[in-house]
Amino acid sequence: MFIRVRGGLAVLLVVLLGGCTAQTVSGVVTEFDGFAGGIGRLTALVEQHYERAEQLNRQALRHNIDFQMELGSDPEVTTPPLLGKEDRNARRAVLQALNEYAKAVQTSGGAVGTPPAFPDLVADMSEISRISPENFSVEQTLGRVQERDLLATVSGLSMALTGDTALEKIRDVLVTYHPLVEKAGLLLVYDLGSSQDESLECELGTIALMETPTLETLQLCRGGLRGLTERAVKFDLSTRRSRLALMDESDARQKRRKPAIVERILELEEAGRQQDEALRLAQMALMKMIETHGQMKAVLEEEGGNPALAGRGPVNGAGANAFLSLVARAEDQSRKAAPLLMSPTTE
Amino acid sequence: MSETDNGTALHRLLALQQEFEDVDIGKMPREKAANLLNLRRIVYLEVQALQARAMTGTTDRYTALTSEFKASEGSLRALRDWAEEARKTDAMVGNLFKGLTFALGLL
Repeated sequence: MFIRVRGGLAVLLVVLLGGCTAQTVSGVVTEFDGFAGGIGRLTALVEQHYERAEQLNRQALRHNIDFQMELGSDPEVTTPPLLGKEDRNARRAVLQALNEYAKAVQTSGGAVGTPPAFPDLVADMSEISRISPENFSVEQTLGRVQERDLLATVSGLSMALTGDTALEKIRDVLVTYHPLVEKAGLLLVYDLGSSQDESLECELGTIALMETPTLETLQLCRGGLRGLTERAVKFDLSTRRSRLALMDESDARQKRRKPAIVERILELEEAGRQQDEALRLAQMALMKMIETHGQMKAVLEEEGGNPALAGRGPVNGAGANAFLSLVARAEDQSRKAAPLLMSPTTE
Repeated sequence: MSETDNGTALHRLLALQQEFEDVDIGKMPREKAANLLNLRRIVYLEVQALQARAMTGTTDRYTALTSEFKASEGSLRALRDWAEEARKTDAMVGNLFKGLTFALGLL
């Protein structure tokens, strides 16, 4: 059983009666804080990666167009985005739903007799109810039934955010919404995709989504944001190599530009590798998010059923700490890749 | 209209991207090189569109997604005609000829 103690502070303390210790109480709060903070940072990071892919796409297209013009051609000057407005909004909605859910869990921690305080946290969740399989290119890795199931479940996250009065305890909230957190996380992992072409090994329809897979056991096939990013970088590299190949060595001005072009090619090759690693780490952090939520749920279930078990498991911040640590690694890697990817053309 | 499915179309376009890379653009006439660069852009846009937008199914019939690819028949044909002539002396261009023929079959 939980009692919410609310003083003048916004922080809520969760007290487990029947033999619990003060450490356990603060542990639960720490876990929620860490979990929510990690999700906030991770969702911001993933959104940043979608935007970065768009920037790389624009950069590569612009460079190709510029070079064609230098050769005297008159190409169509358009740089269409990788993802349309609805597709971007669908992804933002999933990210926002996860973020708001985490904040709700954090600030509602363990109310008895009153519903979790979800509604105030919701700004505009209308987008998530409009999510459709058409907005995600997960089709290559999922069977159709699984895809529908996945997206229907993600849409269900919006239910958590409208304040279901039947859910009076945070434990019940975590138990009820764990499948949604899991599937929202998996949807994003799939959407980030893979840079490797594993399509020959893909066995559509055999992926057991109801079991919690690891990043290694997921069959991501090819595509998603990692694939889009990789192709944008390769396309830009291809244009830059063509610059070298078509360079008039007898032209002093062109010849002077050669070292800078070579430098940029090497830099961009490295940037592609670093960015792919950043996306892989973001996927790992998403998987850890699912695992951490599952641990929190499991411990609260145990404690709720048997007070003697209080304090077992990760309710001491360890689960959230591991999650936060992975988020930090993903952020570091992203910061490492950014200047290489977006450095101005100097050649 | 193409009778090819989405999965096959994607693999053909990815193969064509590689064939574009394998050609020594430095040896091409300036005008053909510029055409190649433009077709790279067009095929890139189509491949990204295929991968970024949800397909209705890898086994469903493919139809070109981007206006650029839909309107590229003339450019594809012009480069294929050049490749047909050039492949008599260059094996790599022979692959390009095949790739361009497949791409034309998608339209």
